[in-house]
Amino acid sequence: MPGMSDGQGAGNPTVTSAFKVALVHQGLVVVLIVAVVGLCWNVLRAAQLRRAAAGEATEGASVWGLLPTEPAARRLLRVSFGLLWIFDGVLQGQLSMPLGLVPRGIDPAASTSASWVEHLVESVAAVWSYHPVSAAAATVWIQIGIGVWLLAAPRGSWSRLGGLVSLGWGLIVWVFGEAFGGVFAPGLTWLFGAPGAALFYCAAGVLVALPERDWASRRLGTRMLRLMGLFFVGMAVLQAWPGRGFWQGKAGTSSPGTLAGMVQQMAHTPQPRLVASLVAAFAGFDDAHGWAVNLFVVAALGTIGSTFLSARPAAVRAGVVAGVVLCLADWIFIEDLGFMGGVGTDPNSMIPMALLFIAGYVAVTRRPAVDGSAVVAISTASPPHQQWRERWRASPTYALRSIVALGAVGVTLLGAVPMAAAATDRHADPLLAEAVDGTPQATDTPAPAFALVDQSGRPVSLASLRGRTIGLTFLDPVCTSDCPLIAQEFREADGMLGSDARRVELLAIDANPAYLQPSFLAAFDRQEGLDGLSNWRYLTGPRAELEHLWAAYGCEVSYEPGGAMIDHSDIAYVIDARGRTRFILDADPGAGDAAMRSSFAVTLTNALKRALPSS
Amino acid sequence: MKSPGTRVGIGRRVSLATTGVVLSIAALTSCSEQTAEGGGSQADTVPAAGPLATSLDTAQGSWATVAMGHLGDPANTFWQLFFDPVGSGSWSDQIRGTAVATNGGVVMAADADGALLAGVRPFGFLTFSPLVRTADGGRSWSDAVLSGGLADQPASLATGPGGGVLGLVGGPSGARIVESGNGLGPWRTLETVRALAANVAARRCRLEAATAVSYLQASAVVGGRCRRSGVSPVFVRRSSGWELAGPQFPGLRGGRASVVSLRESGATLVALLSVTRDTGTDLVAAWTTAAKQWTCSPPLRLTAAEKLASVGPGTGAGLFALLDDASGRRRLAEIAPGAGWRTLPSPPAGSATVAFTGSGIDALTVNKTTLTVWALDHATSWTKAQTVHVDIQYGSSS
Repeated sequence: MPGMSDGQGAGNPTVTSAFKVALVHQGLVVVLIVAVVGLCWNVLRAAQLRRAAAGEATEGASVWGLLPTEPAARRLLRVSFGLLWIFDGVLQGQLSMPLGLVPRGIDPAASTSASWVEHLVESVAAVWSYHPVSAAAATVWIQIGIGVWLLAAPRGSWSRLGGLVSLGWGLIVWVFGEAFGGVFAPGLTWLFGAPGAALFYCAAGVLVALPERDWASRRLGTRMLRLMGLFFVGMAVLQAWPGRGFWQGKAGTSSPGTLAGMVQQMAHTPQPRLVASLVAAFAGFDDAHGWAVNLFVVAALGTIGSTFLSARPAAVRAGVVAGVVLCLADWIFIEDLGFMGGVGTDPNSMIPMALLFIAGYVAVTRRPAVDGSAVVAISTASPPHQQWRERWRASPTYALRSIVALGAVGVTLLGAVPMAAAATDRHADPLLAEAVDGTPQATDTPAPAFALVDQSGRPVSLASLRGRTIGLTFLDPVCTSDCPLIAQEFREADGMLGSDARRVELLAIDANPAYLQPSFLAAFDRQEGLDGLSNWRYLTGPRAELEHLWAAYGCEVSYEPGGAMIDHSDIAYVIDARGRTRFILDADPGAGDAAMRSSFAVTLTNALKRALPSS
Repeated sequence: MKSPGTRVGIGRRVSLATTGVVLSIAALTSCSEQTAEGGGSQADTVPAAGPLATSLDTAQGSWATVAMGHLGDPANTFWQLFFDPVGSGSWSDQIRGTAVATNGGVVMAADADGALLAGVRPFGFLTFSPLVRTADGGRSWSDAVLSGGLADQPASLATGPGGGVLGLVGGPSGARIVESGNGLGPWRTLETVRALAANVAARRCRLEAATAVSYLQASAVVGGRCRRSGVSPVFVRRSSGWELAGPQFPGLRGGRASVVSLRESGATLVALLSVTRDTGTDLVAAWTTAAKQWTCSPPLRLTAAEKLASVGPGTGAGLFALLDDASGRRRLAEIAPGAGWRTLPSPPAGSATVAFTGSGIDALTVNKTTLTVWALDHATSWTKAQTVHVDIQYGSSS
């Protein structure tokens, strides 16, 4: 049947509208959280001022002053990745995210990976496919929440917990959103962001979650740089490995090399003309000078990695500068800034990667102004809970940041709770079916009578089913596309009805004027696994009687030329126990995927339940 | 794990031990050796079985089935069923009678009354084959459901005397031969291919797959593909069970045989086999009336580039083979019982099949939605005789 997949493009107005509404509603909750944060801050500030007036808080703001300054490298990571998470959260708010992320982002990444990765990713991508609006809106708030959390909580357990949450969510994104960053796919290359941006977010989360004493010496910075050095050298070897297609441009061959091909593809994603022209220009350059480009990349990666491994400040400084330049060049000319195209979820890997090695460099060169002994002195001065209370009462900034961090946790939960609910709901959002077929049309008219035979040759009439609620559709027993999908939707609806299924009859009327024998209906039932469903009846009869019913129920049936199947309307009716039509459903199975099938089944189930007698 | 050498050794010992038996069978079923002809060849050009595009001639006229539309895209490839009534000389598309998407292909068989029986192969979500029958050249149709999907072979459907119908259905793992005794149902499974392969007779050829079915004087006949070289995989069902019926011919020695098509013409079984060996592939036609004595044709050697484009009935109990050299050029060869292969003038490039109609030989070429019929004039050249436009509903099976 023509029309499959119609209406479920990433810009489907029903879904985008629902997404906007969800964001607005949840945004109002965020506003409420901000208001509560402000209120709490006001109350606390008033209390602090009263105490100050009473002469209690003599030390006041100096509590912060007694603490050692936050290590510059940690602050760099915390603030920059906090901002990145917020930016990513905003990107998740793009209207094409609900329906576009899986087919245009997740599936392509997974399909090129090993089959076990594909299966793993598919299992979780199904959550998004089944609940696109909930999942997309949840992701917005989870990421904004984590970002604000990192920004608001600079020190202590709250801050470290923020790092751990960043690590956890980053891992989820890396595994399920980026399919392990393409690590298990062919064509892995640093130039296109291997091993995935989210893995760098995870690394930053781990570093923020470390105890502050770990930042007191150069050791952590040195380790960071060495790890980055090893990474760069490894990527250089991978880039230089023969037979992977990176040494060739297009010269002398009929097809572009690996890099040129990738960049050409990238140049075709929707983006500002300037960016597209830069990327296209680089693709052309690589076409002509593929070998030289790869030689430069290999040499640059190897050299930068070596400087990081050396850990000598001067060499590292040069390596950092070169690394930043190379990352920026790659980000602009190859990664296409990362977030264009409507379903970009982050600025890709170059920015977070550069932030990590810059932080390593800062950790080596700029150690905290107050040494570790001061930290120890303060932390042992009084029990931890008292310290916390003293800081809270004494320092306005500490109190504000703590409250804001608490608000950020609330924002994160605002996303995490619906996401968890979506993950546990195995039935798809009925919105998907409505996006393709519209909402069921409510009515209350007498259903056209029929008297036919079922797949076993037993007579069945509308009158004989009085007292039963009926789901009715029209199916071609030799259909190759839509009808089997609709049959599966009816089967799934039967399962969703639970005990109510005993009061429901699921009927189909033959919609092929050539194949009227019950044997065809029985063969269709066997094919679709419907032969074991006690309340499923597939009806047929004389052609004249069927033609009358097709007309009465508004099901248009026509022969198509040239070896095409019979064309007929995809339509379903819900008829109540009194024999009155209560709902008319457009039953076009749309994309025909599991999410769409489940979604229609939910819609049909809801309509059947509403038509059931109240007893 | 055994080494290949070990397996060869065992094979040789088995061969030696059974030499006497094989020679006896060969004496009973052998054809006289013929000299080979044609150029060089290579093993990987072997057709596993015949392509679905074919034609057949009935008392009412000629039928042909060809693929049309976007042939590289299965969802937009639609098989058609053309009919040329006796004395008309004009082909028309009768596919509407199937009332089902034909992307999977159409398999034809003619019964003794001259009626056409067509089975539509599964496609998309459809897993069984509807059968349609017309005895009046497509004016009216009756239908029946086959309990399974017809195999992707031109001879997966056969009719016999008394209204019997044989079908080869199912996929490689679950293929079976089904039979309807009289009319189009009910169906019973005559044998699963797995059970047939385990049969004592079939084990001699190490049956790999069934590729064709037919009747021979009311007995079911199954053709297949052997793993073992030097054996012809044609099995006849006797009251005592399945019997390996041959044919044996010297050109079979050292080659792996596969039955491309089977057909009963009058009381004669007509088989086309491909024989593959390292040096190339041959096509051999064989005829028998009792599956004991066979008459075999000389081999038709395929060139390295050639593959079978179509096979079907020729004049009388003869048959034709249309070969495609991968550049679009075609070679057409016809053979009659007891004669050698006769090469006819090359049909127009891209010919999908040819039809030996009562009035002559037509070649059918396809260009998306247009079928062009070319008639062979005075056995010398092909002349454009007719153009048929077919309204293809692209996207209707997506």
